[in-house]
Amino acid sequence: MPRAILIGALMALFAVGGLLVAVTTAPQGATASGPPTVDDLTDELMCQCGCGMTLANCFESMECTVSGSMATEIQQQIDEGKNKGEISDYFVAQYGEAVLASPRKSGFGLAAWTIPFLTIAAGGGATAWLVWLWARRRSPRGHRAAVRAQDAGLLRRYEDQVDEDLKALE
Amino acid sequence: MPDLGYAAILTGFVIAAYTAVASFVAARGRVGELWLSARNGVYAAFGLTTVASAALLYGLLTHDFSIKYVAEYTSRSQSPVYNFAAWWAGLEGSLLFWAWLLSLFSVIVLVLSRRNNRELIPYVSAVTMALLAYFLGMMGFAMNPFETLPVAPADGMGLNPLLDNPGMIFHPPMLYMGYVGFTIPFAFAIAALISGRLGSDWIRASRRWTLFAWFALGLGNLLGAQWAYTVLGWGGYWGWDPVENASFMPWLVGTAFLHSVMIQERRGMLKVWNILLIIIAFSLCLFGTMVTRSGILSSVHSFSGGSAGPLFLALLAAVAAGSLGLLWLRLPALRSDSQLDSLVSRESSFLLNNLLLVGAAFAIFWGSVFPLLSEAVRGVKTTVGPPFFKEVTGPIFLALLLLMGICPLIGWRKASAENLARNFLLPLALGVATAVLLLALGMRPFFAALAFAVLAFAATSILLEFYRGVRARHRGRGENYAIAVPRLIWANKPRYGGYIVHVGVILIALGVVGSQMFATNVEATVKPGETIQIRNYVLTYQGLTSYTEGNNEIVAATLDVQRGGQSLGSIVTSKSFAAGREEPRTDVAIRSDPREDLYTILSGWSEDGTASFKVLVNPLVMWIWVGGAVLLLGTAIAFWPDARAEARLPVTERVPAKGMRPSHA
Repeated sequence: MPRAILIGALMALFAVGGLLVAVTTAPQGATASGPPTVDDLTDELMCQCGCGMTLANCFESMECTVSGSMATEIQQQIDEGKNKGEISDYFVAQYGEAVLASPRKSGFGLAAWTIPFLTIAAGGGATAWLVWLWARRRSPRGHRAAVRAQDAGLLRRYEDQVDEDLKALE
Repeated sequence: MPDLGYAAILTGFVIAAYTAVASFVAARGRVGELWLSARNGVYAAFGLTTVASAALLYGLLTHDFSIKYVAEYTSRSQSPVYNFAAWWAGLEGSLLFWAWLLSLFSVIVLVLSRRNNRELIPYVSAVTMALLAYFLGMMGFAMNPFETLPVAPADGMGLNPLLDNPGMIFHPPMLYMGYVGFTIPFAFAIAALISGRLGSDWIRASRRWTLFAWFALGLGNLLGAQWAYTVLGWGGYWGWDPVENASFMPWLVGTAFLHSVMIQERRGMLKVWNILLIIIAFSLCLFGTMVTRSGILSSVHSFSGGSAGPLFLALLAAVAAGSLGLLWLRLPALRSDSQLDSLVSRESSFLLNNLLLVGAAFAIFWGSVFPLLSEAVRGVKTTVGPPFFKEVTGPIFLALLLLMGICPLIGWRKASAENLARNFLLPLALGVATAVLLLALGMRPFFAALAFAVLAFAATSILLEFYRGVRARHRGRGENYAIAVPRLIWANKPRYGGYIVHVGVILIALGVVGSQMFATNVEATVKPGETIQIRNYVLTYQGLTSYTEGNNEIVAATLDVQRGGQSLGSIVTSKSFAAGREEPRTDVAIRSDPREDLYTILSGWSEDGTASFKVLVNPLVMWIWVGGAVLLLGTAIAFWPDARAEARLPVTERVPAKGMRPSHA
């Protein structure tokens, strides 16, 4: 019976896998190479109507003339043979850096992209050091046992019992 | 009625301020009579905020347009349900809703703690009443919901048409319940700091409140996502808007807190970190409230009011400075009771989990405030929008999902190499097999295959936990498997409820990865009878109809849908124009199944019947909502009271505090 459950669970996982394959290997609308499309840029530029949304989102969710005219401008730039970077530069020249939906990965904008990861890395280093320290400076066994007995909840005792039962049965 | 409401707010302010001071003095001086008075003050403050709320609701439901707030957010043609929901639709009303919830929660804390935590409760009341006094003061002296107009208009403006949706009834209150809910564990933490009872009492006492606030915030966000998906008409469910981010950050920190308190309860460790986490979570709730009401960050959700920003900033600064100062003073008493037995243990994995959750919250916070920083440093305005948040948080969340799979496989205290090998074998094999299979079958980009592999690993790891538990019950007690599953869950509700929550998160992640990485869209302008093709769908445009429904003029387009040559019936997408409003509301047509959503938006039309559509195929979106339901189930199980555990609470928990008169409540 447990084997049957395990096999059933595995089959369910494979069914989900099959679903994923069917869904995700279907032909895609967009192409990775070649000239950019309007859609490629509407997600990366902000509408200037004051809505605080990307062009793509504003265009679809609001009656906004600004997003429509900006989309037309993008198409004109594509027709002139410009690539994504050149089109972004064109809009920055017109509206300022705030038209970009994310900061540039250079200059001060680089701080936006790197600080979160540097902070996590620093936190990781500090955590690793603490864990090492705590594992190295283990308190006397008797004291630990006393503290545990005083402070540990019922939950822990129950789970420990479950773990022991499992070990005995396996 | 406006006068009654305003009088209730002012009286409530005085009572709440008195109660805050009286609770504190009663607790410090162990003055039982004063504490009884303060207890009554909590009930009185709740009664007065209820009177103020009832007065506003009366105005909202009876069209008393002499009240400015009523005239701004209701109208005669608006349904009573939405007139009721106008309570939280604007700045002043939502402040009153905040205050009412806080007073209600304060009363519930008192009622539920009649026999327990008597040392802590007066301080808890002092904190909640001080906050309540601040909110009532803001309304009394700066943002009065009962402000009257010199001349009452014949009709009100009503809600923005985008808010005329069932989402308005459930989404904002859920978020407020989350925000206000976090006040209670925060108040318990401050109570622990003031009283010096720095063990795990405050964590045990506030555990369900934390879970409730965490759940309400999570569900509020999911409901908001569902609303955006079905109404805004851009095919997405999360726009990384500053206000959305503001409600996501405390949820992430709250998640870290829910995990790290387990280490304190089991091992007596991380006491400083846990208090810090709840201070951060509550401060982020205030930050979110401030962002929505100050207009400092550009957002589609905000409703800013003149003095709201500075007042919330002052509150945030006072809360952060006061609580961190208190924590600093108590640092010597917050030493860990025990140490780690091994580098590789569940404790270590929980620490890593905390690092990533807080790191994700920090990344979102950093992105949200970076435009302000950029303007301050360079004098140049920048925008930090969806592309940034997707790119930065994607790897962090993937690492968290991986950790979600690893944690259950590592034992508490110390994991042996043999245990690790045995526990990891199957999940790892399935994860790797998933990646190899998907890549071999041509899935690109690589990140997507990696994400699905991690999800397979995490899901297997959790299913194995259930499998082992069920097998142990079957072998040890001879229980039938069908009975063993619910009994296993019921025997340890926090543990298995938590695992079910993890399954919900995995399902949500499945939907997010599928829809973010593999969505397809097409835009087309067609005449009646012409078709639009996307993937293996063929949509045949049948024509436009226009009609009036209530107060709305509706233009609707009908399309017949086929998939792989098989008819799936018709869909209707429309735009509705509310009287007196220029902006229409888009009603998208969504045909949903476990595999994908066919999402159709009517973009525009012309006199000759030609219509423009945007059609999207969003894979696996349904799993986001299914995951939400599973998360709800898991939280309910984890939340469910365990009568046996409560009956066996440590004796000190049930003894009246020394010197304080027993409660008469």
